[in-house]
Parts: sequence; C-alpha cells; structure tokens
Amino acid sequence: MNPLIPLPDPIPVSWGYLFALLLMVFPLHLLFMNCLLGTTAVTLYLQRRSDAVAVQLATELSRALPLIMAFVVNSGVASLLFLQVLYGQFFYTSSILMGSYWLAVIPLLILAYYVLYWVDFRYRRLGKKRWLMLAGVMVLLLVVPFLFSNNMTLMLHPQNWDAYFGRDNGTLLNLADLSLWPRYAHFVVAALAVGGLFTATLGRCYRSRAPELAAYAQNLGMTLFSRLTLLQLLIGPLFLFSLPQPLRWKILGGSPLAALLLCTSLVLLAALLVNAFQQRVLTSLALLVPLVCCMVALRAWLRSAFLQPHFTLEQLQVAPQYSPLLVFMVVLVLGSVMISWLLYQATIARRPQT
Amino acid sequence: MNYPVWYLPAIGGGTLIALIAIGHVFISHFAVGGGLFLVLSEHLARKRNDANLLFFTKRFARLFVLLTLVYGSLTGVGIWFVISLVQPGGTSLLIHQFVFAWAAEWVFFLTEIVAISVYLYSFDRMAPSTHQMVGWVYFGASWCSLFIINGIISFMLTSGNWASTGSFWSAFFNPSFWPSLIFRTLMAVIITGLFTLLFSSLNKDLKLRRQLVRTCCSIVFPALLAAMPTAWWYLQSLPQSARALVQAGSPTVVRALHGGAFGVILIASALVFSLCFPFRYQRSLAVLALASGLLLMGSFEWTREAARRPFVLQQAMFCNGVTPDQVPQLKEQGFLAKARWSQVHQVASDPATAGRELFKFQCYSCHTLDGPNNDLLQRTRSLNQNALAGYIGSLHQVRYFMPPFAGTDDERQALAAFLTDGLFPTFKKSSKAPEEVPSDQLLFEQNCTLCHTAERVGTRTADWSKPRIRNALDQLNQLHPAMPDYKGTPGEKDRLADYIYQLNRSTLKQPKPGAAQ
Repeated sequence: MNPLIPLPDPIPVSWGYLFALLLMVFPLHLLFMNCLLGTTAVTLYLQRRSDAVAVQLATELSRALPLIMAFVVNSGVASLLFLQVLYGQFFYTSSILMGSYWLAVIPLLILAYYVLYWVDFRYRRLGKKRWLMLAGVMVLLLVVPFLFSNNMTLMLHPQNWDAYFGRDNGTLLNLADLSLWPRYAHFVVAALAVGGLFTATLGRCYRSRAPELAAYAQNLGMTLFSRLTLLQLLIGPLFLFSLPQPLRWKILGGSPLAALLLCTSLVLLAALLVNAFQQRVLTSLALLVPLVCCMVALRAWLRSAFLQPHFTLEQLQVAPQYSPLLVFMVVLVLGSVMISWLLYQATIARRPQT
Repeated sequence: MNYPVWYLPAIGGGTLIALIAIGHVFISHFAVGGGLFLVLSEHLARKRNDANLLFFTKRFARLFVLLTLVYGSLTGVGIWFVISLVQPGGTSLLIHQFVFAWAAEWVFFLTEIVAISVYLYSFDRMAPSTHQMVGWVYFGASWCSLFIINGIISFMLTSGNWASTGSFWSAFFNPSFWPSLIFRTLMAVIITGLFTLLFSSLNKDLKLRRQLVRTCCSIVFPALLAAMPTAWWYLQSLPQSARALVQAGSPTVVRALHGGAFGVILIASALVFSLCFPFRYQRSLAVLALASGLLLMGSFEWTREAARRPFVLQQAMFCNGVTPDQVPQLKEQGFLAKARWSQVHQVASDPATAGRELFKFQCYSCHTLDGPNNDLLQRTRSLNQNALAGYIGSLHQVRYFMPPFAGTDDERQALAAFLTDGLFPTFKKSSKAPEEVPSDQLLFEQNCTLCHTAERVGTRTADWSKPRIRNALDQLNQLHPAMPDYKGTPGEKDRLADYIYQLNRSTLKQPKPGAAQ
C-alpha cells in the first residue's frame, strides 16, 4: 500500500448506505450543474440575437439562472459530504495538494452567483453590458468544473502525490493525467447539451401563453441538445481510450457490472438521440435522468477500480450507530413533504397571472 | 500528521479560515433572525394595511436573499473547504462522526433555498396567509440548521463524555449545546435588528423610518440584556481549563473580550442616539451599529476558538492534528518517523529540512513566519537555540493553550535550530556559542524571552529591589493574569532573580536605543 495514503476514520453505518446516498444525490448535482453551465451558454448566445422572441427567451432564461445556481450549490454539498465520508483520505489529500486552486472555487462561485443575480434584477438596464457579464460568468463556470475534474482525478492517483515534496503550497494540478481532458470535455459538452434541453423544457411552460416563444425555445434547445449529445459519441470513446488498459478492458467486458452499466447507458443514449432529433422534449428528459444515473454508477465503479490496489470500501471500519441515520431519514421525508408543498404553492400562485 | 500540510507560512491557514468565517458567521446568523423579521414585518403590514411597510418588507426580502443565499451559503461551503485544507484530520473526524447531522442540515438548507425563493418570487402572487406560512417554513428550516450546526460546533469546544462513550447523541447534546444555542439565537436577533436599522436608514419614508428604529430598539435591547446571563451560563458550561483561558487567559482573549464589550457599548449608544434623533446621521449610525455587531460577533467567535485551545476537538485532537494518546509514542519513537507526509523521517539525515518539517507539522497550524497572524519570527528572533529547545520541551506545562511538543530530544533541537539559526542565518544573536551561554542566562531565555525582551524586563524592574523580584517570581500570575506562574525550584528562582537584578543594572549602565519599546 502507498505509504502516503492517510488512515481513514470509521464510519457510523455500513458503507452501502452511504454509497447509495452518494449515488442518489450526485446525479442531481450533475443535472443542475449542466443546466447552469448550458443555460448560461444559451443565454449568452441569445444576446447576439435581436429578434423579439429571442430577447424574451433570454430574459426568461436569465431569471432562472440564479435559482439553478442555488440548487447546484446545495446538491454539490450533499455529494461532497458522502464522498468525504467514503473516500475522505483520498479527497482531503488531493484537495490539499491543489489547495490554492481548490479554495479559489469559492470566490469564483460567489462572483458568478452575484453577476447572475445582477443580470436577473437589472436585465433591461444593463443593455449591451449583459453580453460581457454573461461571458464572464461563462468563463468562471468553465474554470470551476476544470478544478473539480482535477481534484476528482488527482485523488485517484496516489502514485502522483509525491510531487507534493517539491511543491507544498497547494499549486499542483493533475494536468499530466491523459484522462483529465476527455473527462472535462465530456462534462462540458454534456452541460451545453443539457442547457439546450432545459431551454426547450422552459419553452414548453409557455406553450399556451406564448406559443411562438415555446416553438423557438424548443427548436433551438433540442437542436443544441441533439447535436451536442451526438458529439459525445466521439468524446466517450476518447475518454475510454485515455483510461489505463486494464480498466478499459474491464469496462468493455472484463467486469460484468461495468459492462452492463456501459451497455445500458449506450442503449439509453441511442433512444435519447432518436427522441432528441425528433424534438420530443419530455421523452428526452425522461431518458436523460436514468442515463445520468447509469453514468454516475459507472463513474463510481471506475473510481473504486482506480483505487482498488490501495483501498476498497469494505476496508472501512464501522463503529455502528444507526439512530442518526433514522433521524436523517425522517428529516428527509419531512423536508420532501415541505418542499413539495412549497413548490405546489408556487405553481398555483402563478396561475391567476396566466 | 496523517495528512499533508498546505504550507503558506507567510499567510497561515488560520488567517484564511478567519477571513472566510468572520463574514459567514455574521451573515448566517442574520439568515436565521432575518427570516423571523420578514414574517413578523409582513404580518404587521398586512394587519395594519400599511403599504409602505409591506413594500419595505419586500425590498428587505430581496436584499436578504442577496446576502444570505449567495454570500451566506457559499461562504458556508467555503468554511468547509478551508477547514478541510487547514485541519483535514479534525474535519474528517467531524464529517465521519456527524455525517447524518450534516445530511439533515443539507435537507434544511434545501428547504431554506426553496422557501425563500418562493417567498421572494411570489410576494404579490400568493394569498397573504399562505405567503406568511412560506416565510415561517423558511424561518423554521433556518433555525433547525442553526440547531444542527450548533451541536457540531459546541462539540468542538465541549466534547463531554463522548471520548468514553463514542455516542453520537452525547457528542451532539454536549455540555455547552443549550447555552450556545440560546446565545446564538439571541445573536441572530441582535444582528437582524442591526441590519433592519441599516435598511431602514435607506428608506425615504420618515414615518416608517421612525417606526422601524423603534422596532429595532425593542428587539435589540432585550436580546442584548438576555445575552449577558446566557454568556455567563455558556462560560459555566465550559471545562475548567477552557474557562480559565477565557477568564484569565492569553492577552488575545483579553483583547477579544474588551472588543466585545466595546461592541455592545457602541451598539447601545448608536441605538439610543437613533431613538432620540431618528433623522440625524441615520446611515452613519446604522453602519456604525452594524460594524459594532460584527465586532461583537467576531469577539465571541474568537474567544470560543481560543477557549478550545490547545485542541481543535476538545480532548480528542490537538490543533496540529496530533491526538493526545499519540504524544507519548511520538516522544519516544520520533515524530518524523511516523509522519507519513514528512520529507525526511530522521533528523540525522537532514537536520535543516527536519526542522522545517517539524515546524510545518507541529507549529504552522497556529503560527506564521513573518505573517499577520501569530508570527513566530518576532518571538524567536532574539533567542538562542538551547533556550528555545528548553522552552519547546515545556510548552504545554508553561502555556496550557499550546499543545505539547510531540517528538524526541533530537527533533526538539532540530526545530529550535530551524526557528533560530535556520530562519536567521545572518542575525547576530549572541557572541557566545549555545553551549557557552551561562546557565542563568539560559534559564532566563528559556522562561522569559519568548514573551519579553531582556530590555523590556530590565526597564520594567528598573527600580525593583532583588527581594521584590524574587517575590514576584513566586506569583507571576498576579502581576498579569495572562502570565503563567513560574514552576521552577526555589534555587532556580533565586538564580533568575539574581540574573534579572544584574540585567537591570547592566541595562541601566548601558542603555540601548529603543530599549523602552
């Protein structure tokens, strides 16, 4: 075992519960993150259009952006929590090795968030400055996932950690890792595509009030979504071939679970592409969610495969205390009921206006 | 010692934590109290059919969202990021011990986001009673967040019997849980009152402004009054060692407490003035009151953090990540041999690097080198290696709030060498080599020089007789509450008194420029 890997702390329940929770919350984070980055890109693109319908769509999208940001942060918190409980000894270490960049994520997000609210609250008054501001947000939102990709790959490679002895000021990145670039490209292209799908979904809400807007949003959004998702057929294999050969072979059949997840993902992707090109918004959305869940499960499998020479989750010591888990479940149920009530009230509150 | 150290010696991890935490703590308490203000204010406006107050409430909600949802929530994540970079061992323990408390807090955080967004965006689109109910949901969720975070933070200060039971519930409902919860709730009310004062000062409606100033006073004064006995209760709930640190502790705690008292006086003065002269200097007074609130909150948090020392988790982990039960083994077998992230694992192989690594892993969590926070350079500048090595050996006994040095004698010497000659290779400390330093001088340097220069001691005792100096050495703590009693033998005290007396004479004979500083 690599002597640099810190000793993990004991967990309060069997790792399976925590792993299941991670698999439940991380797809949410990915979907929200994709929505944010992609929708910002669409809003930025619409700034170059002067036709009324494009202006109206851009206004509606810019109103949604700060809200999406709130959910990106919230779902990210939950994902990081369960990741830290399961893989803390790897995650804390890689975070420290790139500490200066990692901490920069916070001011970058604060800046992006405030600019999004500024654009939302002063949309008309900002005029042409909107383009510049949204472009700035776009840059910030591209930097943040790049830093995340670095951390998530650096934590998988303890053999590279000894670079710390030459540079202990937290300025290491994982740039030498070949899989970093296709992984990042995969996330960014997926985000831009999902931004298109979100645009189309938002447009659907205006079918009765503003049919022209709805049609425009659907056409623009689904075109983006379908073409960019098609591009993943190129990036996906690149990512696969950037992986070490033993892992690649496992995904391609060596591991039944990984191969099953890959096959399911490919089938869902094929169905998604067909529906996307036919501009079926809701079906595409319904296929995207299980596809993201499958990809997340495959990603989790890949992480455990990367770390397998050093660590497996079964090695975590359990100091059993199940009552806090029960209390959490009760809070989760009550919270879900409360949130459903809030969303219901928000939905019916809008009706008199329409 | 389990994790690497993100090493920025001129800045310090503590500085980074403080930078993020100060703003977050202030805004996060406002996030709780502000929710209560919103629903009460809306209720009053609708009951009185007061359109101006309702409009003010709506504007308040918008500013509230901008401050709490953006800055508050992201700096909250920021604290998590920075503590995991600076105190990874402690953070890992908190995350693993309280994973489902954090998870429940996440649910409340999500509820807060949804509730406050619905509240803001449906202000005029919802039945008033439903809208107020949404506000109550927000307030309830935000207070529950405070409830959970309070359990975890107070555990860091008073771990109670967790060390023996390991129980989640005894860790969460620890001895300072309830006083801390009530104190923080009161702080949330006070800070909300101060923000209301600021927002009202921006309002052009003079009648509404006067009404709001009255409301601020009617919530802040009772909360301030109630906070005082709660603070006393809080203090009583601390373990004896922590209480001693707060009551007669380090000069920094004393300064923080003075700052807090000053903050309370300023808040009260600004409010009284606003009440008497509601239309004069409103904005300046409101800003002053808010800044004083920040001072009060900062003083409280600083004192709480200081009271926890030398631990990051009371009795469970020292602030440098070493646990108390590891210390005897590390003293015997050596720290470097066990530190997985040290560049060298033996002093003999590279003493200079060993000294640097020992500083990085054992001192850097609290000290900087030429940095803004707790700088060690200015303390070790005039010391010689042997004196410092002696002092390092008795750190925890002399200064309770510092963790014991966990390492062998060789490692202690290597650290002392790094902090003296290693950092000041060209600085002329003494014309004599360390081994030639007279034993009385060594005694003085080991016990006095880290806090006082020789000139300072000489000037301070210039007109003292030798018996008076000797007598003072028996009761140093009475000279100043922050000064620890000298625990040497009577013989050592006699020698030290002689040395100080002689030093005094020689200082008078050969005054040095700037000696009185």
